[in-house]
Amino acid sequence: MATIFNSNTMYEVTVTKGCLAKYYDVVYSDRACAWLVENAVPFNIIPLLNDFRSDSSHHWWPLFKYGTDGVNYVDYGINFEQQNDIIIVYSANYFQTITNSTEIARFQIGSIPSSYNIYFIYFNHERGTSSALYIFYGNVDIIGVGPYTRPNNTRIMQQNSQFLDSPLTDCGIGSSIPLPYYTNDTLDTESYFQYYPFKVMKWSLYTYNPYDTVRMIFQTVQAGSIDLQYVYSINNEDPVVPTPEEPPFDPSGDEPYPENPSRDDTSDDIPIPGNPLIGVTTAGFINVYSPGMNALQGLGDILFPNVASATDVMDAILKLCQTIANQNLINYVIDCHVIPVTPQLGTNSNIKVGFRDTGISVPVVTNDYVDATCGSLNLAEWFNGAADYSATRSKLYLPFIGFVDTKPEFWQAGTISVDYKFNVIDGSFMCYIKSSSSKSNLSNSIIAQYAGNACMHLPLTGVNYAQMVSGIIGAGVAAVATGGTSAVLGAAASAANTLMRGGDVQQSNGYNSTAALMGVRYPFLMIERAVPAFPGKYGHDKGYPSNITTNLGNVSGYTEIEDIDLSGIPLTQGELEELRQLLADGVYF
Amino acid sequence: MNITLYVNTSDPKAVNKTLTNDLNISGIAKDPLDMVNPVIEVEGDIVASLGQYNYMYIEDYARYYFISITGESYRLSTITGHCDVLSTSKNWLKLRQATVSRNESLYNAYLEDPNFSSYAYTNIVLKKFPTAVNLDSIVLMTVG
Repeated sequence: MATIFNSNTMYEVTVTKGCLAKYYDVVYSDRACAWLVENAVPFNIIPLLNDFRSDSSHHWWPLFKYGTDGVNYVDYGINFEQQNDIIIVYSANYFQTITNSTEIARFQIGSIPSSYNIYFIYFNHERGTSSALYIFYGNVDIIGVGPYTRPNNTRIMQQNSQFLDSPLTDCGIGSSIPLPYYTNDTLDTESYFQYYPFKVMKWSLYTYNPYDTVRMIFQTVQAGSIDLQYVYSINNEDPVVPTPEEPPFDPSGDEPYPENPSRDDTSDDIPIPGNPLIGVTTAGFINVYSPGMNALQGLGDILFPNVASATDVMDAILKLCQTIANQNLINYVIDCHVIPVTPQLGTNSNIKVGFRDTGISVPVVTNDYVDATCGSLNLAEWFNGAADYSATRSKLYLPFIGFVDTKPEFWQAGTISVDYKFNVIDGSFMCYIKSSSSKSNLSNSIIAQYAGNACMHLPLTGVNYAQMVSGIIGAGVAAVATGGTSAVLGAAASAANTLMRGGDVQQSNGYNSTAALMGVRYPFLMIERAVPAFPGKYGHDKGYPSNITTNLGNVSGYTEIEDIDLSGIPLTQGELEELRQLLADGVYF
Repeated sequence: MNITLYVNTSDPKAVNKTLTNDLNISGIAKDPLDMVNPVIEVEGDIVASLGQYNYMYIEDYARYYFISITGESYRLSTITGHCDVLSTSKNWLKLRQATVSRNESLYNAYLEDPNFSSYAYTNIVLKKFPTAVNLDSIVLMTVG
């Protein structure tokens, strides 16, 4: 439902980041109106290219088309979309005919960690009279009620986006500055209608965090009459929307990173890959089953009947014949092995060995690959400080692999997860380590992967067993994890010495795939932390690392100042050097 | 010259010192005149009566000083001073911006502290993931 904005009336809209508080289908006004932003900070106008149209029967301007028939006039309202756009359309129509609203300019709400930069434009266009283009900026108070009063903190717009530096205190009718206009792309200095174009402006509204609210107060201001017929939207370029930049640590008193909105410091999500498309189970040449022990034993009885268990002569002869008939069936059994995961299974089917349907019904394996997740750990920092990284080291034990080094940045103040992808055909696997951490800016990304083999082959023949033992079959060696620990980079000497005093301790070695099944089946994280020894008055006597530029009138207590500009202090050179040294050694404010 | 004696109970490294028992006296600066390390002669034996004073301010020099009082005779005492540059410049310092490298209350916990001390042993913690890989299964592959 359309909303009418009346002249000289105050309206307030609260807009939160990423959405608009209200949505207006068609909003129109019988007067020029403008959006004001409360508590906005100064901004820079970024002019877009002109968008001129040419029409032999009309005078065209950027954004506005003048109609000469005196009948069709269009009111323009404020049209909001719900997808982070604020579309502002200015309306200044002498007539109250309402047709549609058209976009003039677009605000884009992004997630840039910046102050509020709001620019908007107020077009005061008066037919047959001079006009002015007002631009509101900065901390704009609610403008005074009443027409023809230019609000405070506004500047007059000239062509080519040049501003006047001498703002007018009152820019009513007759006191504004004319702007050039064009006819068929030609600057026309002689105009009967005295309409003035203005350049398209690009506005951006940035909020720092998801909870910021921009309070927009707008007021319609009577602008007199204007004959406008069409308004053409401008193809706005996509604004740069950098991601919010969080301080990586407690910023109390600290200085923020220098902001660079175009810098992208986000991590990409690197997920676990999907399964390869081609597999043994789907090739059709091989039958892959997942029998239980009973079924396996039943298969053995079929392949190798026990003549000694015959109940009578006929039974013995039958079993002997079966033995002869089945003597080569073992050659059709490719492999039988144990893996630590349950394969993906389909419907049951009789085990077929060569030409023989054994009649033993077992589940059929339908996929060469199966995923197994070990879950994740969500760990908060222990010290809430540098010691969580420089005085901490960690190792990760992975089933079938052993101990591997990890960095505290992979799991501190975040989540670390372990997932496996097994190939059930040969027992090989890939282990994926994923991490999400706000400190290291990781976002559910794979930060390590290890391959190995976890498979115990069940020997089928004497030759088969000999090959197994010799390591030819199933000799995939689990990824070797050395005992080497990650270097404690940047640690204070004491903490580093403490952590490294024990040296590199080898906690696992390479082992074959069969031995891998005998290892611990849970992953676990081994965290080694230095135990701090701080005296009770450490802060008072020594202070804590600061690295903050501040006014010295704001500091108190023990303070060390690396360097300071002492110019202007009326002391002798020697006294100044003594002062500098005292400040560097530590004083009490 | 006019001299104001004080009893300073603050740490010498304190910028804002607690000064009490202020006492105005007169003295004569000995030659050679030294604004940083003045030697002031005061009439009379003031060692016993004013011996507790350890601080002074000389208005003519606009400086504060750490002092020691000695008596040369019963008629003459000497005040030897060394400029306290911190107190003398405190009003200027408070208006300055500087990079604070260490502070008692204004700090960044994520900066390395070279003074970090720790015990000789470390704390080792094991955190287990919730799910094991232990669903052992048999896989049989045949041709046929």
